[in-house]
Amino acid sequence: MTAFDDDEDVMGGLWSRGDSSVHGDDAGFEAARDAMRAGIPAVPPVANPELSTLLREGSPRRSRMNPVAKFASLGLVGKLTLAGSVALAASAGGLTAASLATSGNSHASAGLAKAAASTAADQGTNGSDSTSSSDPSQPANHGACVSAVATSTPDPSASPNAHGEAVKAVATSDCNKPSQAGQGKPDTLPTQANSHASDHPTGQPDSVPPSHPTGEPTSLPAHPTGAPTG
Amino acid sequence: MRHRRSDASSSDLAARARAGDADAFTEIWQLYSPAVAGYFRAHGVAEPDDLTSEVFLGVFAKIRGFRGGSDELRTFVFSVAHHRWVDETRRRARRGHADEYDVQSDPRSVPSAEAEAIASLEAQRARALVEALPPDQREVMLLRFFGDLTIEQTASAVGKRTEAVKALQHRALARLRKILEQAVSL
Repeated sequence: MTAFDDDEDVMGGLWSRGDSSVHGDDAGFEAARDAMRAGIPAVPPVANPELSTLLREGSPRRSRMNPVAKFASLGLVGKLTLAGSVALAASAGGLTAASLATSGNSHASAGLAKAAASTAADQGTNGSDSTSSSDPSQPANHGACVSAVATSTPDPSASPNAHGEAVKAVATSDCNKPSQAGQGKPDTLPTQANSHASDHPTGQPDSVPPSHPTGEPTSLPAHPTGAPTG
Repeated sequence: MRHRRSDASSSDLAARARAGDADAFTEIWQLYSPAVAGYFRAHGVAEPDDLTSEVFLGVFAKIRGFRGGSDELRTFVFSVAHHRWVDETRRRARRGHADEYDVQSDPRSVPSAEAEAIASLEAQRARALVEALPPDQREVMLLRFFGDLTIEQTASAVGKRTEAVKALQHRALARLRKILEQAVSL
């Protein structure tokens, strides 16, 4: 239903006259059309720069190959280069994570160790043979490092916030991040991943009680959800 | 100047355009851009050539999903032109003023021959007549005139029912006839 369908001129007696009313317009229509079309330029207008480029070069075809097919289509040199790049990135990240794993927090240590293990796994026993040990499925970025800690099972005896703090510590670290040399960022975190006050990398205030990293009162129940134990 | 192609060659043209072929793009541009520019000029657009370029950028961006022959391709081109015109109308409404097209002040309309001057006068007179129509009637008539679209193709391009487009055309022609009769009687 359009706005015009309600018009009585449309809905009324027009169609009772049948198609002859339309055919009766033919002569007038042809005359009006010929007059209007006299204004059509004889040559195409000037195309704007973007369209000119498109008319000159066409549009690039989109590749429909999936990643596996793309990898398979690479030559030997391409495959070796790609594998070497992945191995190099993974080994750099693994070393960073391993240095963080010396943290005093047990959960963070476990998570970082896991992240380090996962990223360092593709180093293999022979570090010089990067092409044979590389595995593109292994995590080799900061997100994977954080994810490894986040998905690790926390120690049941640890404090309720230990898991979150551990994840936070890794997230704010340089684990598997590209080199930040020259940008004023530290290469490694403080050795205490769950540390606070003066040595916390995020600059939390010194007044946070050393007994609890989040500053919550020490009198809270030990239950992780805060529900009363009784 | 009317452009008609066989369905086979138009299908081939569309297939080549879908593949991103520059020659096919150029062919489509040369085939339909003059009529699209004429359509925008008749609408009184200030920069008809720029708008025409934008229409064809839109056409080529969407041509991968296009299927059909010459009739469908022409309908497709003028459907994009119609929507571009609707956008332009809204933009002009937001700006709060409309730029009236004046063929005399258009530096591109330089009549080089008497025949061209006469044709231009005819077109100018026809354009003045069409401008007297309400917007919906005018849009239907311009798509029919410049796009050479059928009633059904026009309905498809503007998103109305076939009966509504027939009625708009009938009323437009009746109004034009009335204007002409009044002009003759004066």
